[in-house]
Amino acid sequence: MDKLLTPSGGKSHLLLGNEAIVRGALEAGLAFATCYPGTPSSEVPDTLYRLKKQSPEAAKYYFEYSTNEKVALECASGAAAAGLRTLCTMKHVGLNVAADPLMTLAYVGTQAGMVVLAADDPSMFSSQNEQDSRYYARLSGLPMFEPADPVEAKEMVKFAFDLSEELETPVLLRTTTRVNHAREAVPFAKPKTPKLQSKFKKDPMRFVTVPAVSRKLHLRLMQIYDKAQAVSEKGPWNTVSGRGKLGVITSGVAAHYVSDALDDLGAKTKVKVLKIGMSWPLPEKKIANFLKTADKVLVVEELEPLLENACRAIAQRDKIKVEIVGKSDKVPAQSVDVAAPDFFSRAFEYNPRLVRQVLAKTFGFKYKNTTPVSPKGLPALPGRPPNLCAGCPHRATYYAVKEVLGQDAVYPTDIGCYTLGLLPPISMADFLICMGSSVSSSGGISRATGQKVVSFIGDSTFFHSGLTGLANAVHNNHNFTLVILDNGTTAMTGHQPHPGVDTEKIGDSTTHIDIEGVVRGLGVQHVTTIKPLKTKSSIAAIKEAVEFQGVSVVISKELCPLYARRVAPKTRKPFQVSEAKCKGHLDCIKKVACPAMFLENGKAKINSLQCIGCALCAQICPENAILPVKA
Amino acid sequence: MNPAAKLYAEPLDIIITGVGGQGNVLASQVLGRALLKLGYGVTVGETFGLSQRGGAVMSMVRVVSQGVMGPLVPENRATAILSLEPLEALRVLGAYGHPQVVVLTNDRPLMPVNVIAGANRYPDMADLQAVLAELSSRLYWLPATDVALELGNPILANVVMLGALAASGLLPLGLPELEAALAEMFPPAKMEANRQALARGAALLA
Repeated sequence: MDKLLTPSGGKSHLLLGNEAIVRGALEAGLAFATCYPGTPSSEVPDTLYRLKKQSPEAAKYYFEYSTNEKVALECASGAAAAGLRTLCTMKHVGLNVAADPLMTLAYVGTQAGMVVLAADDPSMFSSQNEQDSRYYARLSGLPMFEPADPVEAKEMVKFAFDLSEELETPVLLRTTTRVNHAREAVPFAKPKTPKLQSKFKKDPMRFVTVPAVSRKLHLRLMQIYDKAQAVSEKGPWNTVSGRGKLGVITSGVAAHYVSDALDDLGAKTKVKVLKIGMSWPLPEKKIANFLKTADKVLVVEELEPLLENACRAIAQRDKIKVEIVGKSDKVPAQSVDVAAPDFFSRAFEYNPRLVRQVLAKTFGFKYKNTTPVSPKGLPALPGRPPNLCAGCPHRATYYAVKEVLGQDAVYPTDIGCYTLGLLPPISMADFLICMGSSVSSSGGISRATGQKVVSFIGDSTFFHSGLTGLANAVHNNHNFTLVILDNGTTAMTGHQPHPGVDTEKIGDSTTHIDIEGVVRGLGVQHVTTIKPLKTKSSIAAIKEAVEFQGVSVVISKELCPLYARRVAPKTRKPFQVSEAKCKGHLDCIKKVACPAMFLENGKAKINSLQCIGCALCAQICPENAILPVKA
Repeated sequence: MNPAAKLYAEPLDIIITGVGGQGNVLASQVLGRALLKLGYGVTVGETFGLSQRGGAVMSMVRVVSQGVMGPLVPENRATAILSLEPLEALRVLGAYGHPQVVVLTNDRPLMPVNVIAGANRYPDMADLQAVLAELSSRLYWLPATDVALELGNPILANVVMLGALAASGLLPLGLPELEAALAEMFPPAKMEANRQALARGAALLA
């Protein structure tokens, strides 16, 4: 049995931040969990799913991958209203999708502990923006916790469940990538026995938000805010350490950078630090006292200046004379890099060097760094952007569409591995703002321009946010072709199931929904399913689809090879380039740039360790020079 | 429990880098578990996500005798760089290196997509090796993938590199501790290959 299910406490284990969140929930008596996966939150639901599969007798909670974050939060809200301890997880942009239920769920509250995880991604390692989810605590009025590391994450989850149950309100847990994806020794405690079933107690004057009820509920929310603020003031999560007239107020992983930097600067005894772990409601009295006893305070928080602005407001209100330093208005010259600027910006995550530099500058500390590597000694290095895997069927689909329409058509895309179609030589991504935007924006672009539009969406994203857009397109007589890239799994975030997966393959008892049936059901008149690794027939089918007047859908069906390796392994021979036949057209490399291919003396070669034998390049070669390796 | 042996550096900051899919995260996890068992304070910061699809990945293993560190190694402050791909060794060296840094790298290149498509050039291998040697105090240029292929699976290169790291004198542990950590993560059937990979990696430094 996995260590995360250990029924006793005592020992410490090396856990990823996301695993620590799972253990915290289990120790709190988790009964119900929903999610939509998304980096950096994915290992929370993936761990819950894996534990349940491996040890159903020990992992007794209900768990589901929901179709999107709105659905996940609504499903979870039902369980929490019925009285079960519930966890709902998503990445930061997922909370936008779930924002509608969140705002009014805050009004009705819960009958048991409920924790909602929003995992932020400062610097956008795998996200379309780096919005600051701490705004959602302010927008919804719900309490929020911000762990600095895996150990805190586990403890805060437990505390949040108890607080939520006591106040009958959902509690937000806001993490950042550096907390979700850090590993640390986490001490275990004995898990509570979960309450697995309940009875829904009818209380429409609490749970049915017609205006007359909501007016009362808004006041209820404000009363809860006051109670939560008392916990923020007196509770264990907002603490002052050190003493002196110089102060730092910090939260999240930045607290570690502050601690490391003060060590480096030999300034641990010269600076006092207020660490904010419960970041909403803010401990205003504690902050006021901290400001009153300082001459100068530096606020160290990633992304938006929320603590900083609160400090300024408190200082103004209480007439406190203190210099507050925080974010600069300057725009940094470059993006994600260890060579940070020497000022705090609203853009990108912080790092140890940045925090040390700004601390030293603000308080006049001296610092001598180790000798860096001389940049003169370094040759120019090619970048290493991510790429579609060797044998990825998306590459074949893109190839086929481009053979039909070239670069003239407009190609709205969506969120998944296939977004990498942005990069040359495929270069077939023209518009993307959020999950599902491919389908809906296509109608706008084609109406506005009359240009040919072909958009791409993955199978999981289609169920997440594509259905309503497609209904809209059919109903409003739009004119474009939607290609649904059905690789049988949610590949990007780690192969989670979704409604379209072959449930038998993975031994799940969930129900499969047929994508083609859904598309036809939504009224699309021209629907074809292709096998993208068969290029000739795919090109013919795509040609017909794009010539259709109205909304047409092409379902490109082929398993993700990484996923297939696990659920349906089959060995195909790798390919090689026949030196005798190759005339060096390089269509294979110029058109698809599979990572298994490389150039040697002007001719294409195939790395047989990487090639999985998809045969796409073999079909592209005008000389038929690419052949299977003979045994 | 207080750790028995003094660390090579305090903090001992080891950056493990490579290309998504090479088993970077596994290597950092094995190292972290082994050091934790000996009583050291360990923090591992992982950088992955989108990069799983053939992009550059990096794990930072931070080890102290007492307490815990934040998840990120400061610039120019790595004690050692363990790289599963030579170009990535140099990329990390530029940001985190200094004259005393020790570099261990697999010598097998993996071409980035822009190099495959002919838009960029991969550095000449001899130049790459020379620059790495010049900018570090010790360079171990190791045929980890070749060894892994001899053992039957190129994915073992990460374990070969861990074996080499254990033999470098940088760690307060040896092969048995790494083997025990691997045994927590692999079924017994896969342990023989891992044991051999560790031993062959260590032998590369003999």
